Amino acid sequence: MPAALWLIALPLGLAPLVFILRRKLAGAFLAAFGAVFVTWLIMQVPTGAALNVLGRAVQLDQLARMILMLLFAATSVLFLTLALSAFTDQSQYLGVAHKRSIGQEARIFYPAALVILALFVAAGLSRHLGITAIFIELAAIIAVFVIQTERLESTRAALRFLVLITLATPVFLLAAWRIDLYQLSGGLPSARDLEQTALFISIGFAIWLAVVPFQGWLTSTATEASAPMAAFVLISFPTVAVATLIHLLVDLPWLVDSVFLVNAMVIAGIFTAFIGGVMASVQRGLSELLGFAALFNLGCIVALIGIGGQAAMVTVVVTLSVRALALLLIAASMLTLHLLVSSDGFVQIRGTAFRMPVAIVGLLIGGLTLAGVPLTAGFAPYWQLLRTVAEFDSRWLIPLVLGSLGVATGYVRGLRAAMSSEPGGGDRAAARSLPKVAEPLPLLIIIILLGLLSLLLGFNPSLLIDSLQTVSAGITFPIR
Amino acid sequence: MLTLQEVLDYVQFIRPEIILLGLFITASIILIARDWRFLILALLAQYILVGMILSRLVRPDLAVLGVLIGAFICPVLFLSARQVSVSPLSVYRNLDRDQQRLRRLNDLWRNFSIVQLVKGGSPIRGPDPTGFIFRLFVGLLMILVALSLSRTFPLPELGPQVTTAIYWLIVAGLITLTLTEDPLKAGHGLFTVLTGFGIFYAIVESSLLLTGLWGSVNLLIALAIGYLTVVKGAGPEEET
Repeated sequence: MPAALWLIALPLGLAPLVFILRRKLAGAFLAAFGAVFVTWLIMQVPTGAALNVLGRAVQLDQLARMILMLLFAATSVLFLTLALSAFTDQSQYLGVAHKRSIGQEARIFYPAALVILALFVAAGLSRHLGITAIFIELAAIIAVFVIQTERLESTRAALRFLVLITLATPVFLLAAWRIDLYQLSGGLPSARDLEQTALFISIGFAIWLAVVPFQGWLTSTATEASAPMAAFVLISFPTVAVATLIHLLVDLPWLVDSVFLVNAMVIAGIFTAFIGGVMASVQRGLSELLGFAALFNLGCIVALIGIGGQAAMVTVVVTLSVRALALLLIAASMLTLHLLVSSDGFVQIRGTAFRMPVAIVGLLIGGLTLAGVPLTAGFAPYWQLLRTVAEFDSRWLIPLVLGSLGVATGYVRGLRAAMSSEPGGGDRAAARSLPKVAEPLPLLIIIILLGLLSLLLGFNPSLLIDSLQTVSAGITFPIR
Repeated sequence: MLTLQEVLDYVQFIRPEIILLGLFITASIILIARDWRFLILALLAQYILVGMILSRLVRPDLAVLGVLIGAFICPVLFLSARQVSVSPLSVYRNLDRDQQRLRRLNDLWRNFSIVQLVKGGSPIRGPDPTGFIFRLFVGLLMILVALSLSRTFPLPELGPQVTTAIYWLIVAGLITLTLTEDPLKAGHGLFTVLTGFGIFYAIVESSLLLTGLWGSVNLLIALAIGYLTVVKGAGPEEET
């Protein structure tokens, strides 16, 4: 069997074992170490074609390798975070019932995430848009169970996610059909055919990448799913979608002859970033804030791809990595916070900064990383985006900067809420009403490590940029 | 026993206009009705009618495959809907099983109404955010939209009836999706859209692998919709 196909077989083979052991901690650690092992294996597998399906190579290239490593590494951190959270003394936390539900959710999450990752590997290896779309659709169907888990109060997020991703799949199948026609005909497509194909691709990726007005699946997932599940979906699906878009543009450079496609990416990306930022500034809960902050970040990535240029590729891969880091940090912090309070609305989290300062600081660092604030890991790619946009059209700087300020404002408001009290009380009045508990040590360690990593990359971004240069160097991106 | 070829030959006598009219009716029921029995029956009829269309345009086995996929989807939805609809109301709780059955039949007979059956006053789901008359008018409007689209953007190598059927199913399904947050009804809207797309895709796509994969995906979507239906039915009323 080609070595690359082991990357599909291993997670799929591990999933049933993890499912059987799901009620025991062994299942959680098996899933975590399995994900770490596959991450290592991805580094060992040689790049190149493995198979040929429907006339297209099934191959692992540098970009696919980096994306898959990112996904497996991020998921292993999530697995470990959830597993280590089980090592806490339950009796002292107010949100014990909530914590118990986190344990139940994790039992569904471990095997489901492994299957989803296997499908993402298949999607990442495939260079046929139709097959990739079907694998991502299959992953989305399983993700419905991850988003919903065993919550009974609402099915809105899972339903929106399923409906929107499913509506994108027929569009991609149509685009793949048009592309296959042109490939078979051997000639260049006519202008009309090119625009039709570009339209299908634009609509499909607009849904996958949560471009406004299709952002509903992303924001509602962040709002309703628990933080680790939301982080998994918000990291994995957009990352795979971005990789698929880049592969498509690299394999079919004639697509960028469509001025409509290129302009649509730029305008849609900037508009999405602006809306995400503005909406983030007025949210009244950390979950809602997470959704719109992630939307802002995704909009920046889409705009970067549309503008293109020499540094676009390395900036996109750095942004994806930083995005994953920020979302993991936020997820770990919110998971810790939910041990203390059952809801993360700004009213409910009053005074929590004095009980769980590390979690609150972790939230703040993660949020400001997504906003691209200086001294965080997100600043370097965001600054490169601004420079690229300034060369393209300086008027687009205004919505991007406003968006960033909006996200930062949202998280500063959250910090203020966490440090505030009920009207008429002192700053510590709210803290006195909360139980005297400390953050669990395992989660504390994870938050500190991720937070320090974000700050380290903020002070020295070349650590990440230099290591990812080799990925982008091998990509001849057609948009210049 | 009739062979497949004999059944297909018989189906050829049904005019395309009749099939199109049938699709107008089934998709309208999916858009307007709320009762899960009506919805699932309409969806099953829709799959059969689409199979009749496909039998004239693609290989017979592909047309039959489409109907079979629909025939598997409908029981999945049925079992999910039935599981949440058969929930004991408090008035029945203190009765034994025979008394419960008799009481339910009496109540059903006294309260029987065709309109109520279509509108579907489900104790599980709350009042519909859109009224029956509103959905009826939207359905009529969407028929006009579908007819206009089929005249303005005719699909290549397809007759006007097939083109209209494709546009109508997609438009009706999308409208159904926008008007509801109930997983079961949204699932019907989604399958209506996918059915409309499926007609066109089965004709233009020559790859059996992709067509087969797409059919499998439809089945798995039904499982996900069924799961969400059961979860929604088991949970408290959702604020709209």
